[in-house]
Amino acid sequence: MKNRTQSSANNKIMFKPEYATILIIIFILGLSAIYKPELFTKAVQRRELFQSIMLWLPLIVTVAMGMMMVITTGCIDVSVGSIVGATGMFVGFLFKFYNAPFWVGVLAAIVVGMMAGALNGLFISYFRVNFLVVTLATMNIWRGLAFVITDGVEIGASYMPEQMSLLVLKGPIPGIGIPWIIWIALFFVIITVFFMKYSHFGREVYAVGSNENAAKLRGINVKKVRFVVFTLTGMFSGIAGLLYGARFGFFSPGDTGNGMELIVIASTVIGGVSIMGGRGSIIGVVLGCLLLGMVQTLIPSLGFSSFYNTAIYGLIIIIALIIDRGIKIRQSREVVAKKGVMGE
Amino acid sequence: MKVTEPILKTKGMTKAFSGVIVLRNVDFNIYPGEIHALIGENGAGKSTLVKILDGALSPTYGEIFLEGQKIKIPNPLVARKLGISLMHQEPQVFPDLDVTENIFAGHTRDNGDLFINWREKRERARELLDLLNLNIDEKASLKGMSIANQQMVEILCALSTNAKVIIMDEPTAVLTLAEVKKLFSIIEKLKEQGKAIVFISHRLDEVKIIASRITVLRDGNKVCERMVENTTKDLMVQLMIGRTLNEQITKEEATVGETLLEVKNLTLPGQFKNVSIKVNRGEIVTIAGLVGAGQTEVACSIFGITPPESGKIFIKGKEEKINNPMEAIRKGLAMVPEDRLQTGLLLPLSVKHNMTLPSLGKISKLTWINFKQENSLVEAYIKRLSIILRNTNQAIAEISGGNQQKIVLSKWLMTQPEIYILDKPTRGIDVGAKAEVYNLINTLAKEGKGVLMISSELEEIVHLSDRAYVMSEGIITAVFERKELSEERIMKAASITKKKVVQSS
Amino acid sequence: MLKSSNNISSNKDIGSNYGLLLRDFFSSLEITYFILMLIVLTILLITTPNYRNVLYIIKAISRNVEYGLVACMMTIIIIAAMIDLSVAGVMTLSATITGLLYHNAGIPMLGAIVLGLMGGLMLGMINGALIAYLKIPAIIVTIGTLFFYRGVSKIFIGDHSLGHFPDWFNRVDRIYPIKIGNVNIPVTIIGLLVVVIIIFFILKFTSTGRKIYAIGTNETAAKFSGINVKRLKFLLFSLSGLVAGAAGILCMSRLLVVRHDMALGGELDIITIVVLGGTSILGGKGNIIGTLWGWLIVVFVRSGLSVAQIPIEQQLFVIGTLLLLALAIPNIISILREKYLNIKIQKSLKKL
Repeated sequence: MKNRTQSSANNKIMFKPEYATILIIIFILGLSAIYKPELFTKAVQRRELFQSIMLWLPLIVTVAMGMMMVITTGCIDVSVGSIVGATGMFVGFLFKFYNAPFWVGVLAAIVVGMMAGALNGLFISYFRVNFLVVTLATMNIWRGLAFVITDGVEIGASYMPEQMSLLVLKGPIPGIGIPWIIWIALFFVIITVFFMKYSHFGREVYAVGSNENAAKLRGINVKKVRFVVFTLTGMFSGIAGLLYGARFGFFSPGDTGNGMELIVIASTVIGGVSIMGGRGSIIGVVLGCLLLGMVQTLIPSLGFSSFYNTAIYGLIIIIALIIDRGIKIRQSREVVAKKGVMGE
Repeated sequence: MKVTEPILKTKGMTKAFSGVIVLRNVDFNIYPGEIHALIGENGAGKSTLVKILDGALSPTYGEIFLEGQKIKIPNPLVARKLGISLMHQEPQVFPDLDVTENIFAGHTRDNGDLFINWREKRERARELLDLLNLNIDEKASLKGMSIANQQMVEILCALSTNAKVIIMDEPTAVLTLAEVKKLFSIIEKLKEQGKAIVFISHRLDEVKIIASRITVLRDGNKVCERMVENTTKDLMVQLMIGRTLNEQITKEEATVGETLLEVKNLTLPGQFKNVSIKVNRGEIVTIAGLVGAGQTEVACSIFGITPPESGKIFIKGKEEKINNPMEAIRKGLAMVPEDRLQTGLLLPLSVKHNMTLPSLGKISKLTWINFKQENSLVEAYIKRLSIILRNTNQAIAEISGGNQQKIVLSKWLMTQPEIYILDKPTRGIDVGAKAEVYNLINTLAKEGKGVLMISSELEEIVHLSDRAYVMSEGIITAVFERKELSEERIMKAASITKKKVVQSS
Repeated sequence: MLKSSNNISSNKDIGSNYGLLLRDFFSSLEITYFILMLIVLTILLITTPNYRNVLYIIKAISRNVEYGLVACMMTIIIIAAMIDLSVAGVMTLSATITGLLYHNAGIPMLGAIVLGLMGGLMLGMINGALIAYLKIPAIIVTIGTLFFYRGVSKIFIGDHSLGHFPDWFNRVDRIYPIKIGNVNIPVTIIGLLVVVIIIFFILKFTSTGRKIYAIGTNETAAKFSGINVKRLKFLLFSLSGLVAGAAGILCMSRLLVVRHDMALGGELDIITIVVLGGTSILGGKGNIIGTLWGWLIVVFVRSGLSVAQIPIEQQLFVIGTLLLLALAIPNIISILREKYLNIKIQKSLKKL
């Protein structure tokens, strides 16, 4: 057994961003409890609050899995919200005008989502157009399409196949009231974790994000990696579009997925995933989703108008960025100090 | 070990970029169990040749044979699969991944497994580390790892792909003496295992030590292939540049005056500590030392890029605080950085724009640029330094290294500073331009400027310096006045180390 | 590889510098965009009968001066290899501040405008501080501030439309100081042209312009060359805030009210304008005249669609597609050209 003189820098318990997120969540819950205790003391309200958060969470988390991969490879996809909306509307359209069964809707959501993501990937990787320009353009393209599909008309609950509402009302395990939608999101989280850690492609994603040049030299097809990542994100967004309809009971061209990109990007940033490299953790991202989902639900529950949502999200992003920067600066100081210099 | 057939060879290898031929009909032979050095000046074609072998570039004409079979190498992935591994000058690693992940990044599929078995990978990483007697934890993060260790990780990556041919491009450029020793012992080990090693280096001493065969390239042509034991260093140089190097570096006498620049106890934690340097008018002062000893960091600190945490800077006797390069320039400092392509010049911009960048205040009134003045200034300096150009709006990328360096120099001459900080001013330029640079440095000293030069070329230091400070691992280990200077003394002082040299058993 | 010629530049006269600019423009990639623009303009002119009427064109243009203004500033920011996605938010919040100060705080309109502009400036300074001094990537900072600023507007004025401003303030775009033939040119368009001219000179003729191109080309090298990168970045973002603030107030004047959804999605239009004009989003390259063309295209497309009574979301669809294609097609062409050239070289060398 040899002595390890250059031991892992991770031996010291490093300040993990996930801890900070947990603390902030607890902090906010605490503040809310003080401000309006009934939310937590009265069982009905508590249950409502919990349900509200837990039904919203799967939507964000699903898309966040894709966004995390995108940001890891050094890009951002601002079109996710619009893809959610467009696929949602398309699925709703199929339900209403073609009486499509549930499984067709699911298939449609996946396929259309993938196509939308692939479009992004195509233009970004193979036509060499900047990712911001592409996703900004497609963001508006898909949102426009969402309106075109039904001429701006919502698709209401009466047209939904019954499985849609089942998704949020019933769960696979009788007795334990955890609805399907949560299991589905959980499933996605688990396969993403597994995928990123144990699949070859997942490692390539991290490699590309860490040092694109080195990845190229190692023979990793960076273009393909980005293309696939965007396609997967499109797929996740498509599925989220379907889930949106399940959660809210209707598809609306203006509302479905509106503003979602902000929340998802914020969650990923909170999760420590950085566009400059730095891979964050999936748990961190999920916690970020929890934080933001919680904030969105708490705002109306606490009696504030929903007008506060946008500002608070923006503020959270900014604060998360500042904290993330602070952590990175501190980390690099530690690294430099560790290098040491003679005479010490 | 006598082997007659090369394991990898090129026949008639030719490469052209946009009509310009950079490699012409080169037959390069790599034998297993041998360390083969590839030498030549900058621009001779060494990088191009190895990039073709790595699959990063495609040959315009020519064939490659692996173990007698003709092959094509369309991309680095294929090269890896064929057992050819290229290690670049700066280690290309993934800072966010740990050692094991780094070793296997990009070729995790080799096993044919559907999923990655990390435990197995970690064990294999551990095996490789032990094979080379390295004391690195396979779970260690690459962040903040020393460059030498990063290089080790790259070597391990090559090993993990069962590379038969390992090409190293200037591996010792960024290593300390102790680390070079360690690297050489590992290269020996690789040789014992029957790997074929290609070693590109400018340091002919090292080539003499480690290599058994050399191939010399000049202007894209193969000049010869010889055994090292039959080749002296002088012969190597002669083959490389096509003429004998009999120019001595001369120093011209200059009157020494007041102290222009003095720094006392400059400290930046993690980079350097208690550095004190003095540069007088008319002096050429050198900071010697191995790469990574902290000289560049000191220079950047004085110039305001990364201001020191403690210590004082005095310019012409007055204490100054320099917070950014703009202030440094205003106070009469100029710095020619080490890497002219990344930090010395802005590549897409024209020669003219580059040259006048720090002097914009001089050629403009209330920010309005006086084009006439700009043109005449630029022309004047081009003449003064004999820079060879088509026109001043030419792109920097089209110009030779020597001329590029001259452009950087004239850029700073234009700011008319009192103190010049030159970081390896003759790095990577041909002999002719080098002589001109030495001339210029002498002239500057004669004109009463102060020159602070960082160099790792002992000849330069010994011949040019009025005073030489030697740094090692962040501190100044010795100061020599001109009459005390000698190459051995400098080398010795540069090799002083407090870190325990990691012993190989 | 030494060059045998010993020629130094043959620039003898000052005029050649200006002449060089013209030559740069015509031989660069920008010319492709210029031609593209002319094509689009011609198509629109032909297909829409209203376009024959110059008055109509002027009217259409004056409805979009605000975006044009912000796009001009954005051009500078993009040349410096950065981006400011928060502009629409700054527009809205500055206008909101102005409106609220006038209505709720009883401050006279002129004063409210000045304070609103200062507000815009400060919002830009916040961006600048985070980006220049804390070194957080601009793209994500400005996404955050976009939502934060717009969100704050929402908090302040909720769903209401804040209006009833003094007469002299309303419809500033109806002030026609100049008349060409029998066409009235509103002051806003003149203002925009003035801004374009000013920025043109700043970029090409001043040291600041050189510095902007420098940091957009290679920030580190720029720093080593003595450019105070932090300060310049901070300045640019602060200025961006100021310009966006002015644009927002201008918008308020034209629409007579300010709402929380003013200029919603405006960043798309603005970036489209800049990018269509040939400025590379990666930085280091670009010019303001191109932005002018890009603006005209977007304006004409938008107004053409409005006339055809196509709803806003679908207009955005068209703009998005336009942006995508306008950028992809030149790239596709050059990729194909590279492949073709490579094949040619292979063939000719095989013959050797």
